[in-house]
Amino acid sequence: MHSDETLLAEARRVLTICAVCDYCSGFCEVFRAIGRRTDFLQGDINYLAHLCHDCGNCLDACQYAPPHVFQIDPPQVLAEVRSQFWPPAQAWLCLVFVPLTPLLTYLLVPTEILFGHHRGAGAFYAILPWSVLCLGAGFVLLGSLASLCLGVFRFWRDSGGGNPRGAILMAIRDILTLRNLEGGGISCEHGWVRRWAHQALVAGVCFCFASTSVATIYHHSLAYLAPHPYQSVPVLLGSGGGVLMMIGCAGLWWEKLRRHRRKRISTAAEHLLLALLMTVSVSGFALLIWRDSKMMGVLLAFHFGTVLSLFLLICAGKLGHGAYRAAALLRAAMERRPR
Amino acid sequence: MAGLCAAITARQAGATVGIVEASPQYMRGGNLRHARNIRLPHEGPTHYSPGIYRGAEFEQEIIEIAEGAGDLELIRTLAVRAADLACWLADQGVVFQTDHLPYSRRTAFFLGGGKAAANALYARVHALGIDVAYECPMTELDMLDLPARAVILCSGAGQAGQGHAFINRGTPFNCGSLADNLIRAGAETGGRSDAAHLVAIDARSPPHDGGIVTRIDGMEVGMMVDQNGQRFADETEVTGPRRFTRWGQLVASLPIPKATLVLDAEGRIKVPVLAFPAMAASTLDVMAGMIDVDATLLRRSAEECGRVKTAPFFAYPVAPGLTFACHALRVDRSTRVKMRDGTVRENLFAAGAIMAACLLNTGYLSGIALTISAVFGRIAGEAAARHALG
Repeated sequence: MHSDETLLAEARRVLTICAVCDYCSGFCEVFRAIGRRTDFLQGDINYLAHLCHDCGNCLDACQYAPPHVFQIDPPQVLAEVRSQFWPPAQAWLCLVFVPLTPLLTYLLVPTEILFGHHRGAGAFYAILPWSVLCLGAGFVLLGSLASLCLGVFRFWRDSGGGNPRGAILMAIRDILTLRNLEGGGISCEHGWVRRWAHQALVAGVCFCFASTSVATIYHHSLAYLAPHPYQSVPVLLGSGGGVLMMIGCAGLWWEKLRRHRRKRISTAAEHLLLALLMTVSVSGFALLIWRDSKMMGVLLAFHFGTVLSLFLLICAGKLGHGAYRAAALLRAAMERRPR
Repeated sequence: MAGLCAAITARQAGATVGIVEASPQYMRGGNLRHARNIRLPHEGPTHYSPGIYRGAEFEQEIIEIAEGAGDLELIRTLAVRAADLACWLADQGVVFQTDHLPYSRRTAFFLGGGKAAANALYARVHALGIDVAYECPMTELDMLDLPARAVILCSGAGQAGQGHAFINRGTPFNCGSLADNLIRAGAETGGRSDAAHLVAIDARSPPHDGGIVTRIDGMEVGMMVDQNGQRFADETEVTGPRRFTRWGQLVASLPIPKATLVLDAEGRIKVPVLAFPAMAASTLDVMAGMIDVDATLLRRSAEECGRVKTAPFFAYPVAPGLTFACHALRVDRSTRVKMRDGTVRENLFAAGAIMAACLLNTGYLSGIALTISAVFGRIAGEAAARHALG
């Protein structure tokens, strides 16, 4: 990951002034980490960028915030550094599967089968064979995860490397509670909404993943084929996950639109991710509701396409931010652990 | 700080209050925006300050720093009324930081610094229904025809005014014209108009409002040279908290009040992080050209001090930076403005830096300006409300 040199120089200038000032040390781990440093190399800047939860407390409290001549806006410059990891153009490209999958399905599957009535176990596979679903999803997901792992490995190495053993529990607590959005005493703008909405969204995605895993076990071990009945474990997990995802997306969107600090260049990737997550949940419910109708084939292809695009966003879009944030929180825990 | 405390107190006492603020909204609150900690006496450990710092010790320190020139009645009042200040500020919504701080028994730190405290006090001001008019500088006030039944002046000691040649670290709106206007109209003066609180700062700082980060530190690991390239003081003599003021005064007393901090490769590592980038040169001769001093004298200075040896060399331009002016209006125990003819103005009050030099003269202790501002702001608010409500 090579950042733009001018952006890097600007981030270094801002962080140096933050390090000298140190008034924000009570707010979050970012400023404690800045305080432990005297030099800001690219790896350090990337680390601080991913550690920042973008709450805005430091900007509100900053004596040098624009229009001051020093133009200090840490959340903005760190968001710009972060956005280098998922350029908007690349994220838009990930959406290719959303139109492509239904289109290919329409072209390749004979019309009488695509719009025919398919019911009961194995109905989905009449439209998209199990091998296509499994190989397509598996290939994209594993490829994306491999690329993300490489990115996070580089991030870890460039920000100082080291063995994080002993800091893992502290980091897990910070990841689960999003403690850095508490503001350290002055509550962050909409911090409560952001924490709950974000974790609802994460839980929703996990539920949906669990649903797919259970369905896979059913398929291989018990020969229960999808679609499953409404009361079955995969449908219940998937529906619960879908609802949580919709609640989470709505909460995060509400927060973004209500936010006092609107001037943001890096929000394109965020809106795109939220929109796709919302589309995945809505199309999942549409498939569940109309799975016995003639539209099932098209809905299945569309839902499958949104999921493939979502998998791509893991490596090329903002969905991968979770891994970088977790790594940054792990490093922060490592640094503050008493020796 | 003083104005906000005064407005809140007066409103809580039942008066109708309006604030006339010279600055735009983003620079509101005077020099509170640049503050970090406030000096608070306490008889036992509190959640915001460890240890014990008794009122008597606090009072004694102020008397000493003012070298006997402080107004003892005001100092006594300050010590008594500072006792419940932390609780009062917390009640108004100001949040103190308790973790990730150096040990300080004498001062409490605002979480996020002074601007966060100003934001909290302004939120309180708005919740109480106090009108704030921003960008309304007042340069004159007719004492015989005041715009309200009582007026409280919290317009600072005038450090940003024309009379000061140095870079001003604080707000540019603290220009002192209102106080000058009153002095011309017969108000009694305190402190000293020819003295100021100075620290050594980077000469590349903006003319106003550079705040805390412009300070230059680390002289003891390098050398300080004047415009000729010659050293003018022992860099290792003072290394405690007083070093900032010492260098401010030393540089200001040079014939041309500019100097350069020169470090070698080893010194650069030892020096704390500084806000502006260093000028770098591979040899002392190149460095002499960059900072416009005589190369022979610079080399001789380096040999003499013995700490500047290993290339590459680094330099920071240094100038005196003005923190506070030491000029003041005299006030009585209720902060009513005293006149040279011995009378006091019953309806005109002054609180904050505009009267702080009456207590401190030319001295300064960290966080004391905020204590004076908050305590006398509250006293002024109470007294002005009493007067206005009759």
